[in-house]
Amino acid sequence: MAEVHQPTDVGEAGSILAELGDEAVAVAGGTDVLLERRLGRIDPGHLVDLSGLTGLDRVERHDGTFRVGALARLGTVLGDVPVRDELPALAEAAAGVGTPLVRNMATLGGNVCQAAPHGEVTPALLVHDAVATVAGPDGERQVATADLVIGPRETSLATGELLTAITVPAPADHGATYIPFDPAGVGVAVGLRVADGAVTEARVALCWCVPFPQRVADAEAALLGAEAITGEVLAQLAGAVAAACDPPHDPVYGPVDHRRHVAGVLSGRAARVAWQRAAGSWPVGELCPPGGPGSEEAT
Amino acid sequence: MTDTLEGRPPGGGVIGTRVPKLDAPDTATGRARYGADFHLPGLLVGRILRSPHAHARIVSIDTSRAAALPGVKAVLTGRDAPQEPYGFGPYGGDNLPLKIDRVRWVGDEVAAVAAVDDDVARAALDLIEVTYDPLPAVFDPYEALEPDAPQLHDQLPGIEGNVSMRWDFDEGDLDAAVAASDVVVDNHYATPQAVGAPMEPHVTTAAFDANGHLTVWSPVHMPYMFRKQLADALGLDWRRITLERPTVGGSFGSKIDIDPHDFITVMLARVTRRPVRIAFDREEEFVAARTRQPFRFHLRTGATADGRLTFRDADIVSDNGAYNAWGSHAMLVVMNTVTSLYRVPAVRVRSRVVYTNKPYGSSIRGFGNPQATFAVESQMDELALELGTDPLALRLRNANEPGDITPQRMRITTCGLRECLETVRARSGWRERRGRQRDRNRGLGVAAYIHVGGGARIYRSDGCGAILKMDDAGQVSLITGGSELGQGSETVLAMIVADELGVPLEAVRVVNADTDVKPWDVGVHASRTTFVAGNAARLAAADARRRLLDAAAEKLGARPEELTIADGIISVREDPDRSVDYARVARGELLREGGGTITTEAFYDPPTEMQDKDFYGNISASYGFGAQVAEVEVDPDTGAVRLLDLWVAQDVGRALNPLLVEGQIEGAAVMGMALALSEELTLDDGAVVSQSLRTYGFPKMTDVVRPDITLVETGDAEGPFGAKGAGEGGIIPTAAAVANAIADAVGVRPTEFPMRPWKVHGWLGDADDADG
Repeated sequence: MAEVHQPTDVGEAGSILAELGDEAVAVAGGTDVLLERRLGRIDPGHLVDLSGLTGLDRVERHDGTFRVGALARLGTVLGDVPVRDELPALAEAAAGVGTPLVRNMATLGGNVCQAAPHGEVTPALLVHDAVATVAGPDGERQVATADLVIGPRETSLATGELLTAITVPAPADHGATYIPFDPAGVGVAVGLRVADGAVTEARVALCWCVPFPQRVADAEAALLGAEAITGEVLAQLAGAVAAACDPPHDPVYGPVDHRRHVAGVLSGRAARVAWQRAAGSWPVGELCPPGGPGSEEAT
Repeated sequence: MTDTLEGRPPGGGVIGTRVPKLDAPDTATGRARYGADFHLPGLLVGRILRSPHAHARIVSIDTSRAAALPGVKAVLTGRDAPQEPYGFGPYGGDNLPLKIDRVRWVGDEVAAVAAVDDDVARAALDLIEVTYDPLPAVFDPYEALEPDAPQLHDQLPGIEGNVSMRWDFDEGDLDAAVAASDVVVDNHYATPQAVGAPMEPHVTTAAFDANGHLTVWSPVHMPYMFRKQLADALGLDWRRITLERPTVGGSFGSKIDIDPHDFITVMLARVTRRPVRIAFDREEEFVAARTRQPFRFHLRTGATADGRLTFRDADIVSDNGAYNAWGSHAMLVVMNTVTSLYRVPAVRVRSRVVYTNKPYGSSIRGFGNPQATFAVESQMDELALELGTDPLALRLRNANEPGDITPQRMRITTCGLRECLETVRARSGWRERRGRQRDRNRGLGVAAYIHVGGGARIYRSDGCGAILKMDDAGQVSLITGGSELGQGSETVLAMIVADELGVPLEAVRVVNADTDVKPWDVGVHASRTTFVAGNAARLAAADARRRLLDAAAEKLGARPEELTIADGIISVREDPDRSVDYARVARGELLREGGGTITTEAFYDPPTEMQDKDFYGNISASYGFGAQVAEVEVDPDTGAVRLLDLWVAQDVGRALNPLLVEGQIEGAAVMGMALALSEELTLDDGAVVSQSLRTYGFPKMTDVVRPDITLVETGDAEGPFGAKGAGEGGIIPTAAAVANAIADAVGVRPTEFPMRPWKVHGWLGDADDADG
C-alpha cells in the first residue's frame, strides 16, 4: 500500500518529492504509473498526486512559440486548433496515445517523463528542438528535450525537480510530422527547415523500436542539404533509421527485421510530409494518418 | 404440440419489427449488475498462483509464510482439498482445478489464497514458495506428434503419444474421385490462438449458507452442466447447489466452460466458510481464459474442368494446448465444414487433437468454423485460379441447395447460400471491380459458410424448457432455460411470447432465473438460443393462449376457435364488438371459485440426431448459410492491409428482430475483421506475452468498417416464426474473404491468419524472390 500525497502547488510537490527521494513517484494522469504499479513493475511507497497543481494544464502561443503546460492532457493538445495547424507533429503524437478516454487522462509531461520506449510525444518534441522548463528547489532551469530524456525510463530530473512546461518553437519554414505504425511498434518523427529549396536543418527521432525515444544523427545527416527527397536520399535515410532501430525483444511486434524495414519506410514518408509542410504544400490542419500517406500518394 | 402452431399467422405483430434490446437502458446507464458489482457480508478475495513453467514437476510447495500473513484466511494447494479430475476425452478427465505434482502450461493453477483484500491476497501469492523441476516442453503440434516428444498426459491409461482424440471420416470413393479430377490443388494453412476478449473479465463468487447449501454466481453459458461438473469434481451434492447468473459483460464463448478458477472459488469458500470471489484482471484474462484453438490443415481439393468439385482430402491437427476443455471438440465443427460446404461427392478427413504445453481452448464464436472455412475457402479461390474461372461463379456452381444431404448426412432444408452469394456479388460491384484494381493494390475476395442453425446435438438432449406464468395484472413472466449473454435473446424471447399470445410486448417480462427456478437447458452455444429456447417459449405461450381462449369463450358465449387475440384484446372473430381484455380473463381465472394461475410449461428438443461413431448424423434441425465479400488495400512497402469494405449476406431464416440480428451479424463480422488482420495471442516460450488489448491486436473503431448487411429470409419450417440461428455466422467467412481479397490485390496467397503486416510483407517478398 502506497501513501498518497496531494500537494497544491509546485513548491510543495517539489519539497515532498525531495524529502521522500526514491521512495516516491509523481503521478500526473496516472495512465502509465498506475498500470506499472498494478503490474508490479514498480512498487513505490509514496505516490505524489500532481492533479492539484493549478495553471500547468494550458496550451499557449506567443510569437510563433508554443508553451504547453506539463499537466496539459493529451486530449487537450490534440484538440487545440493552433497546435493542429502549426505543430501537427505534436498533435499526431498525442493522437497516437491510446484512445480518447486515455488521452483525457494522460498528460504531456507524464508521457515525456516516463521515458518509456514507446513514449510518443518525445520524438515530436525532439524534432522541434523543444525546451523543457524544470522547477526545483533552486528555481527554474531550461533543458533541451534530448537532455531531459536520457535513458530507458530515465530522465535527468534531480530529486525534487518537476517538469512544468515545454516550449516548442514553430517557425514558418519548419515542417514536421510524427508517424506511428502500431502493429510493428514503430514511431518516427522528422522535422525539416527548408530554405531556398534545400534542407537547412534536419531532425529525425524514433520511439518504440529503440530503448528510449531519441534522435538519429546519421539519418539527419542524410537529409541535411537535400534539394529534394530523392530515391538516393530516401535510401540513405532508411538505412540510417533501420540501423538505429534497436528494439528490445518483444514478439508481439513481429520480427525485428520487419520492424527495422518499417522504420525505414516510415522515415521516408515522414520526410516527404515534413518537406511538404515546410514548403507550405501540405493542407494546414490536416493530420497525417497512422502509417503515413501510402507510397502511392507520397510519390 | 408443435402441429398446433403450424399455419397460424403471428398474433400481435411485434415479430419482424426493430425493437431495441430491452436491457439496453440499464446496460448503457450502468445500472446492470455484473458479477463483480455486488457485495456479500464477509466476502474474501481469492487469487491464484500460476505456473511460470510450460512443463514442470512440482517438487514442493511451502505455504507457511503466506498462511502467516495477517489477513490471509486460507492457502490451498492441490494436496489440501478433495478434487477429482475433470475434462472431456476418451481417456477420462485430464485436468485438476489445483495441480498436484505437475504443471503443463504457463498459467496452470498451483495454489490459491483467500484474503481480506486484494493487496493482501497478492502479497500472499508472493510468499508461496514452489520448487519446480522443469521438464522439456513442446509448443508445436507436429513436433508433439514426434516419437521422442515430451509427453503431457502419460498418466492417462491408453493414451498414445500426445494424441488426445483421433477422428477419421470417409465418404465416397476418394481414389476414383482423384482420378476423375482435371485439377487438384494442394496447400497447407494455419490459424492462430485467439481469445474471446470480452469487456468483462471472468469473475466467480461462491458462498455456502449455514445449512451448507452452495450458491455460485458465475457468467456461465451452461448453468446445468456447470453445476454437474462442479459437484462431480468437488464431491458436492448437486441438489444443494444453486447457480446464479449476474448480467454478463460479454463472453463470445470464452465463458462456456467451467474453469479451474470456478472450482477454486468454491474450494476457498468451503475451507474459509466465508463467501469468496475470484475476479480476473485484464492481464489474467489474457493469460488464463480459454482460447480459440489453433489448427493446421493440409488440404487437397479436386474439380473437373467445368468446375464441379470432385473431392476434398484433409489432414487436420488441432493444437489443443494442455487439457481438454470445450475447445478440444472444435474438430467436429471443422469436419462439418470440410465435408459439407458446397457439394462434395467424396471426402476423406484424418484429424488429430494434439496436446501441447500451451493455453487450452474453449468454444469461441464459430467454434472451429472460421478456421475450417479459412482453409476450405482459400482453396476454392486457388482452384478457381487453376481453372481460370471466376471464384464466385465457381461457388455458385457447387452451392448447397435445399433438399441436399451432405456426406455426413446433414439434411439441408432451407438454404439461402445461392442468394447470399448473388447478393454480395451485386452489392460489391464484383463483376466490374474484382481483378481490376491491382494497379492500386486493391482487391475483392469472397467466402461463404455453412453452420448449424437449428441447435446442435452434442449431448443426449438438445432441449430447453420454458415456464410461462400470468398474474392478476396480466403480466406475463417467461422463465426460460435460455441464458442472456448480451446477444439479445431475452428481447427476442419476449417478442416471441408477445406475438404468440397476442399481448403487448410491455406485458412480457423474461426472468433471468437461477437454477432453483430455471427449467433445464443445454446452454448457450451453436447459435441455438433463439431457435431452441424460442421454440420452447413459443410452445408455452401457445398453451397459455389456449387457456386464455378457453376461459374467454365462456365469458363471451362463443367457442374458443371463434376467438382471436390482438394487442391483448380477445374478441369474437366474426363479431369484434364482443371482446374482453386478456388480463381480465387471467384475473378471472385466478379469482373464481376453484380458480388457479395460468401457468404453462413446455420443453422443446429439436428433431435431430447425434452423430454416430462414423460421424454420420443430422445434428441440427436447420443450417445457416452466408457469404461475404471483402475489399482491401495492401501497402506493399510495409505489408499493412486496410479493410475498405465488407458486404455481408446471411440466411437468417426469418429476422424476428432485424435490429438485433443485424447487431449480431455486425458484431460477429467485426470480430471476423480483427481475427483476419490483427488478433493473436502471442506466446514466448509458451508464455502469453500479449497481455493487453493493444498488444493482443484488439481493433480500434478506426481499424474496422461498418459492414453492409443484407438479411436473406428463407423461412425455416422448424424455426420459431421461421427463424434460424444467426449469432456466429458473421465471424465465420471474414478471414477467408480478406485472404482472397489480398490475393486479388497483390497476387500472393495468404495461408494463415491474422494477416499481420510482417506476414503479408514476407509473402510479397517470397513472390518477388520467385519472380527474380
